[in-house]
Amino acid sequence: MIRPKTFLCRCEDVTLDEFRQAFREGFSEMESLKRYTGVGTGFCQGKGCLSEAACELAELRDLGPDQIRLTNIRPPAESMTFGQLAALDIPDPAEQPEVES
Amino acid sequence: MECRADTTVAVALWENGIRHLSHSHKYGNHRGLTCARGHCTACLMRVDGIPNVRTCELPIQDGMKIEKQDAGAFYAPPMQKMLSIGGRLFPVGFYYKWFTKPVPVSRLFLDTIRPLTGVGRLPEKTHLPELPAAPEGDDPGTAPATDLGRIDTLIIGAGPAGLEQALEASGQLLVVDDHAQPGGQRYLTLKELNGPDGPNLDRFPVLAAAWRKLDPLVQRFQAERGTDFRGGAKAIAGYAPSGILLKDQNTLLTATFGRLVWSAGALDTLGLFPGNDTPGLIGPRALYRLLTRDGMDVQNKRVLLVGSGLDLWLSAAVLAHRGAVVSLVVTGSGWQSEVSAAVDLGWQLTTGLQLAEVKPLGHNRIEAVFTPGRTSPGPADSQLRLQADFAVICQRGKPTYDIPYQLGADMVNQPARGGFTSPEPEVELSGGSTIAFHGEAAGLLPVDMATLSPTSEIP
Repeated sequence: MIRPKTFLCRCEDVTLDEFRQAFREGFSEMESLKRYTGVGTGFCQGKGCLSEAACELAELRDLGPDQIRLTNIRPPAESMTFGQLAALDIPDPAEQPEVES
Repeated sequence: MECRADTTVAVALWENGIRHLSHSHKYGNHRGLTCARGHCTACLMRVDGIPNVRTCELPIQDGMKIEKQDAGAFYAPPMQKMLSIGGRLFPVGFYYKWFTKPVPVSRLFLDTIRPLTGVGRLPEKTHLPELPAAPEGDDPGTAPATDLGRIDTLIIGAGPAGLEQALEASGQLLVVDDHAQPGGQRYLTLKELNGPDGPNLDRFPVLAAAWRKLDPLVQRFQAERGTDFRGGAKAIAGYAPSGILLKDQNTLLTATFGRLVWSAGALDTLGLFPGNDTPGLIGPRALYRLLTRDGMDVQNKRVLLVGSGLDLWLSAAVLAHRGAVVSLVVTGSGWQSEVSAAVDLGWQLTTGLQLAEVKPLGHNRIEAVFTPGRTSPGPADSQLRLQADFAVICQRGKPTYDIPYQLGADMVNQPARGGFTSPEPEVELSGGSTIAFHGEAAGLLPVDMATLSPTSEIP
């Protein structure tokens, strides 16, 4: 019997051990950890994992949990068709203010 | 397959003994109903040829064709074992970063290996005409989104916090909630327990007090502002500085706001422990939806409840009322009168333990392993194993934050408030509009929302 894994991010199948391993491999920022491991890039855009991941990273780096900032959360929160997306009159994302990572 | 009408696809499958709705992409783990509110990935299935449908929110209909989104054989136990062992040999970010070059390898991967896992199959062509039609003519703005224009006060989340704000609002108002009726995530559950057929709540005064506060609020809102309520709708995106995208069933709505009241509540937190993705593990908010919205049958089911706080007692009370056999593992302190009430009622109750591991037991049961908590006496290596049909983990919820963050509000990770929340109760956005945070979305505990005034300080 394989011991069950502790999942940090269920959408992208990232375990807590993998997140820690990625940190040991030198990824020490939330943004780079997100890109490398996939944490927070799934359907839920981090609803299930980002606060846990931030707390874990804060502990690994010996920082306060409030020192780790959110990564970008891409809209929309529900899947929609390209037809619906194309018909929306929404501001150009390129004109939006940059969000700090 | 036969099932009740008037429920969701995921619950219909659950009641037919099918909990395993999807496989995880990398390890092929079984996944089943988790959030029950359209946030997570666990219930994504292929319905009538359309991939990635959230079956936890999709009403069941006669003749639906429901498929798992993967090749079952690929994830047979030997393959799972191989993936689990083989996975250690590869880098962490392996599966979607490799096989991109050279082109022939990429083709082989995309055309052969990826479809085996079930990821990335397109909708069947026969179903394409059923997708929303492309706008006719040259004007791309004719369909399919409706613009609601500028709304003075837009309230997302019609729980107690949102309703209190709605009653104070002036000018044009829109209150949006993903439930069909106002009152929030606990409304129908509290209504059932406090209704004429409800149990005696003398031993759980907090559950009666919560209803005494919530019910008049809902009735006053419906009398004074009921026409400004849009149920069954969700905010699905924020576009800085004040644009909001709403989804009402299958219609998209756009709006801008002068003041946004963010009272969308909190999300279930299951916690980090081995086996935390096992199908059959849910949070209290999912339980309320499954029981009261979808009518899930729990008669004679053995349900394990782990945690503390208002949600533990509300979940236990509603499950016991519906005929489930509840077994509680109470963590944390306080709630003494509720603990003794549970003992008097004959509920199995244990304290001083912490959840160490959860394992599936066949397809439709789970086993939870508990170890002594840090403060409890007794040998550290002793274990308690409890088996159940499913388990509800009642921990402090995570405040919702995604749309305000997209709109430009700063969010700070504050574990004492449950996760990422705004450090300020009210934030002014670049265009002059504001976002105010209330209720669980501001980091309040549900028990404070239920019994105290909304101005009470966060502990």
